[in-house]
Amino acid sequence: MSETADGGVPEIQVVGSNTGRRSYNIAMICDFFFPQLGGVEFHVFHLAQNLIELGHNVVIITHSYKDRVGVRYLTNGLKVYYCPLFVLYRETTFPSVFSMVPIIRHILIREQIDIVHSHGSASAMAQESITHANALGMKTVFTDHSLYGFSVLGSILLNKLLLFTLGNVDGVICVSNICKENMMVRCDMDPEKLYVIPNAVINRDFKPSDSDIIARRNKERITIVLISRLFPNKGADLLCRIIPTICDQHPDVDFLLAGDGPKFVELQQTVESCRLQDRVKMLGAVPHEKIRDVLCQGDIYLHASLTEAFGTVLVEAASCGLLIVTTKVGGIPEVLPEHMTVYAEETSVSCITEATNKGISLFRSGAIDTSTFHDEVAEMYDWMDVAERTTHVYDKIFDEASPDDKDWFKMMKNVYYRDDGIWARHLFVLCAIVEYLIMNVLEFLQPAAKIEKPPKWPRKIVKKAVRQRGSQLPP
Amino acid sequence: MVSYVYWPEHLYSRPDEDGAIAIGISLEGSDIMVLDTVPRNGAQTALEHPYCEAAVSEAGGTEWQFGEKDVAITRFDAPRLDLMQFFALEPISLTLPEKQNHTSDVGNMRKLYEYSRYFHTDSKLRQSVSLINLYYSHLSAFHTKYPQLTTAEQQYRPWRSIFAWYKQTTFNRLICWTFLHIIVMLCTVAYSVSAVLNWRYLPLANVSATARQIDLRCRQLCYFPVQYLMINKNKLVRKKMRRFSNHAQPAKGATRDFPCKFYPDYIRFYNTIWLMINDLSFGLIIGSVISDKSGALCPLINRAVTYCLNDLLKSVTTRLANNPFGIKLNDELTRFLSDLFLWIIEFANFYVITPFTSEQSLSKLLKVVSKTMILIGASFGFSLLADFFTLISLHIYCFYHIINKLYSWQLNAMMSLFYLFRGKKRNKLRHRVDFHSFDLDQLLMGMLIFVPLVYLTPTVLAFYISYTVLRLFAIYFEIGLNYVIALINHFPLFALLLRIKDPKRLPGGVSLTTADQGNSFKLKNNPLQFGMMFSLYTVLLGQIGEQYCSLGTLKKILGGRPISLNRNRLYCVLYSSLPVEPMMIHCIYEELLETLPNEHAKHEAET
Amino acid sequence: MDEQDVARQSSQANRSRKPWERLLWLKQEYPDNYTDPNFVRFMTTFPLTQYNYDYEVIRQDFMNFYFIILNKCFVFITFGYVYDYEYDPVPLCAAVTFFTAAWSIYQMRGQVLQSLKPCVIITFTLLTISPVLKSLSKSTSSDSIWTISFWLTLYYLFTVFKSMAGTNRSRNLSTNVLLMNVTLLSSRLATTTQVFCFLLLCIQINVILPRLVNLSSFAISLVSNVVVYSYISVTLNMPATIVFGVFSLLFIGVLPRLFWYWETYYKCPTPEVLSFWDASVPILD
Repeated sequence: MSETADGGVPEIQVVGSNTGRRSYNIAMICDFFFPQLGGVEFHVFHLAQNLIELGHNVVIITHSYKDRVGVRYLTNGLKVYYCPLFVLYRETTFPSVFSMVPIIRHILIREQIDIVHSHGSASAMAQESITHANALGMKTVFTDHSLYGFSVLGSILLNKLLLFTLGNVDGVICVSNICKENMMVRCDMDPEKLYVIPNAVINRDFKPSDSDIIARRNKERITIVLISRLFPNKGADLLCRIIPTICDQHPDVDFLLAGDGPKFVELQQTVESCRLQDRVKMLGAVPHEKIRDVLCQGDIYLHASLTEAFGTVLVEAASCGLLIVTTKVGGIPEVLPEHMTVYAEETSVSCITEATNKGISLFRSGAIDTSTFHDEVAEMYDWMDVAERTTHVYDKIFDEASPDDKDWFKMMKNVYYRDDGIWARHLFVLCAIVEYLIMNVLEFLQPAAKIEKPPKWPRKIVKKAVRQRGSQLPP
Repeated sequence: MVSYVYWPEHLYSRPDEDGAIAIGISLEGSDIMVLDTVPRNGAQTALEHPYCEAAVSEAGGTEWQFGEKDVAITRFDAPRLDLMQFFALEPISLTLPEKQNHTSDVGNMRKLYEYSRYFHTDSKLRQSVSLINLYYSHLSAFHTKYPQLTTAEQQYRPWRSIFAWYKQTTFNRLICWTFLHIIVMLCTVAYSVSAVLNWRYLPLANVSATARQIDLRCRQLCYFPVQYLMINKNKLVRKKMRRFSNHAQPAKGATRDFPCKFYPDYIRFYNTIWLMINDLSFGLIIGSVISDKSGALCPLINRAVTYCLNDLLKSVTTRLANNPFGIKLNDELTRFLSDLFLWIIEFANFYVITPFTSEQSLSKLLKVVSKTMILIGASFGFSLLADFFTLISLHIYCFYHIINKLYSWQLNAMMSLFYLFRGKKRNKLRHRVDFHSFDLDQLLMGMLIFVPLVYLTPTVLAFYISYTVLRLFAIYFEIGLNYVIALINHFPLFALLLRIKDPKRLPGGVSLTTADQGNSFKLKNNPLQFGMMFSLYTVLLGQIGEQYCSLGTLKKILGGRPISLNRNRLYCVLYSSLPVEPMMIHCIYEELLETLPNEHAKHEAET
Repeated sequence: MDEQDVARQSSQANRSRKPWERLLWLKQEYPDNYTDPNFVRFMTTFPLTQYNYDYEVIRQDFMNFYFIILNKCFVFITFGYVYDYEYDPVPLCAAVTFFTAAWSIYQMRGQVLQSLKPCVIITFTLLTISPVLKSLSKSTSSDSIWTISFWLTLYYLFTVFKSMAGTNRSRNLSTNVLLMNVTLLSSRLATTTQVFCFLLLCIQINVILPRLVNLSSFAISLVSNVVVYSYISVTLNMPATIVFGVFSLLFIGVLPRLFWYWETYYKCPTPEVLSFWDASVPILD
């Protein structure tokens, strides 16, 4: 039964002569990817790019977007499989436990994958493929990007599901400490398997240009920027009350709002009823490449979110040289140093207004020099750093692996003891058994040995190694 | 970098025993095209630009030697322009260029097309192809310039000179002059008729199929001189070419892609004439059949019309009034509506259907139709029939519009009141739904109106759906008739025949294949595909399907938006071989005069 | 996750290293899978929160809900009065209208002219719509009307329950649902006069009067109780009235106490820590 589940360390290719670094075949699996744009999508793309820089092979597996079906190559030979799957809601595939087995198995074997790295708990595809990869004896890593509470029905169900899918995962990466602790409580994971690796930003994409700096210096009025999808959990209700108050208290403060959402109309109505149309500019949805332009028009960035795992937009705003005024929820206090931020202790209108007032007076008095922010942020967050830390996680997984890790019986036992509920544990075991049966049937129908292996994209890193060797030679 | 040499097929053979030179020509931006081969011994003439020695073969040698190293020979069948054969990189279009619709290519594809990197790569090929198209012109120019290198002899054709003499006689000029003025008068009349039919305040052409058919014929008539001029311009250009041949410089500017530009006009012109004749012959056949069988047809049509437009409608309406399928409708409203519709049916039956479809009047109608078909073509007969059907199904049109208005009002009111129910209102100025706190009296009044409307919805819906289905069937029937007319009017008959007779005259792009075990290429013409000839019809069918038979239609029906038969839109695709506005004749009168033979004769004599 | 792990972790750490800080932007000499020791300590000794509910508030809420139900009962009482007993509704309607008018004039003092406009509009709308309503549902069976009315009543109670916390918007919604129910019932009545009077009565008793008077005031609640129970006893019988009475007494007297007791002592005390990751509640002060 456990023919395919040998669980051994894959053949390790050493790239270059003196690097001594292992090169993995990595599959990133996530429902959310280009052409859709968002936090997770950028994370996956940039991480993949930097892993390729480090000499690994990366393929991305996602579902099809309209006519974008099949295999596509992006920058640096990043191969993307757009699988034709049924999309249920908000670009998430239909959550079925086994429907993706044939295609995922085929791709994973075809690409000779060592590590399957899934992203996002909301992605059904990511969760499902972790179980498939485990059954195929591959190492699995999961990255979580968001926080989940314990009181909403949706997240309770999701937590149960995670309990099953993460039963045999080898490592989980969280974007912040609070996210890690959340994961620990949600899935009862061993803290040793949980790693904290923050997001990063492309610093050169969020650099105020010279003309921006001059314009900012010559401006007499203060502009407060807000970038938020206007959902209730992003603090839209708070904003509806804060904006008129601030406008009332400071006649020289303007607002610039980017983002659309269910609360957009309500906010717009508030602005109209307070007759603030010429002071509060609402841009609606703004494409990601224009975010920099929006940010650079402002002096202070206001963030009224009620929950946040990491808050990439804060880093982006700080990188553009804005003073940050924010609530102190989730992972926000971990993200930026004290001197860049003004915190509101509570998520109340009065507290945030007070913090904004403090930010405005700090800015007016010139007590804060925002011009150095960009370089400081560039020191703190870098995708290459993220990629290197991720590689350490992979290395560690292989180093600490025991040969029976991916044994089907052992994995089944793991899954069985995951949950106390009598129903849940039997359901989990049933799912595991069906999964292994399907794997056997597929092995019979489409033997792994018969699956064609595609050639790899020619790698850059080899050149670098040659050059290094060349420099050692005497002239 | 490989350089290409284009070689005419009839010159491509083993070089002579005692050596030969292949003379080539290359214009700015094109590759070399071989014009002729001359024996090596006689030719010691220095060649001026643009002529050059493309290749040489030694005495006793079996291969051509080229100056450069990497040379790929591309062979081609020299196209004979006088037989209207030519190569074209793009498929020639059978519609007017300004009327082509680019709906098929999507955004990304277009971006790719317009990307500068891909845009200009074929410019060399384009230049070469236009050089190849003028092979014979260049050859004769070459022969005129270097008579000593000419091998073939010009034939003397006696009938040509007789024809030339005839063309210069006064008699011929008189005939042409008279003919031209008759045509001008005809065109003026046609133009004014078309203008009347398209009068802004009462566009008859949009209402009646017959008027549209007359309008179409008038426009075609107006367009004939223009087309003739365009085709003739082609000839004029070639005449100019011959004059250039006296000089060493073959015409460059005038020759740029000219065959592709004017040749489609030729096809369109003759296609129209063919279709007219075809229309007449069909008319003769169908018309005589109708007049033959009119005795049997009359009672049949009478029965069919009475059943479909009277009995069926009545039974539907009465059934709706009596709880159809056990659904309990509101009695008062049902009674009112069914009474209203029954009254309209009675009215229509008494004043329209009975008088028009009695057997006497039907036989009269058929007589008129058959006579029309025999005299001016089948399309007119069919359009008369279409108009007749529109007239006798007028009451269905009325029903539909009454019930549609009713339904859409009700739906609209219910939507607004439902917003009120949820404490919202639509902001018309900003196109969004605002929150609003209503006063008590507003709420009360809104609710009091809302509840009866909700109650009456099933009743109105039942009537609405029934009559919409009826209307749709009437529309399908009309579309069917119009489609037949469209086929008769716009079938690409000439192009099809041309495609069968000589595919080279209908180029749809070029293809390069390897020949000679891969030593050389062969430039071939891809004849225009049948699918492209009928692309208009597929577009039209798609449009009709989208408009009257799709999910969108269902949505439109449920949303209460009116469905109407827009003849203009239905037909606009097929007007593609005609300009939007008929051309005023006096604009081209001068140019037409210029084409008269005396002008030419004088002109030629002067030069 | 237990303290031994933490101890091991900290003993492994080099003593000379700087203490770990809970910051992402700082590059620290700790592995990525280092766990915040404070968090583990926090998790093992998290505080249990006890909820303190004010009994008086709970009781008041139950009372208010009871009065709204009583008020809603008037719709059915009026309907029974007109539909079942076929009494002439005109005198009753006149009396209630007179009372409402007098009361509103007494309350508003001088703003009579302003409130005249809505009154006139409503009256004329009612006059116009009554004949239509009368014939509206003739072909529908009574049972289906009762069923729809039942569900609408439930929905009304639900919206009332939601609007107790209440914004103005949800109160409007409950009024709308009530009106829908009333209009639905009125379409069962036989004559135009009956429809008109029934609608007018319901609008006054259920929509206008609750805005003018305090439902929980002693006099009003007494009148409401007396009318409702006497109607029940007349229509049904004495035992039924007693059952209803007992139920309402339980609802007002015992249920709030039970609820309070359960909330305070039996509801599983949620650890604060679990709400730690929930989206925080916006405080709109």
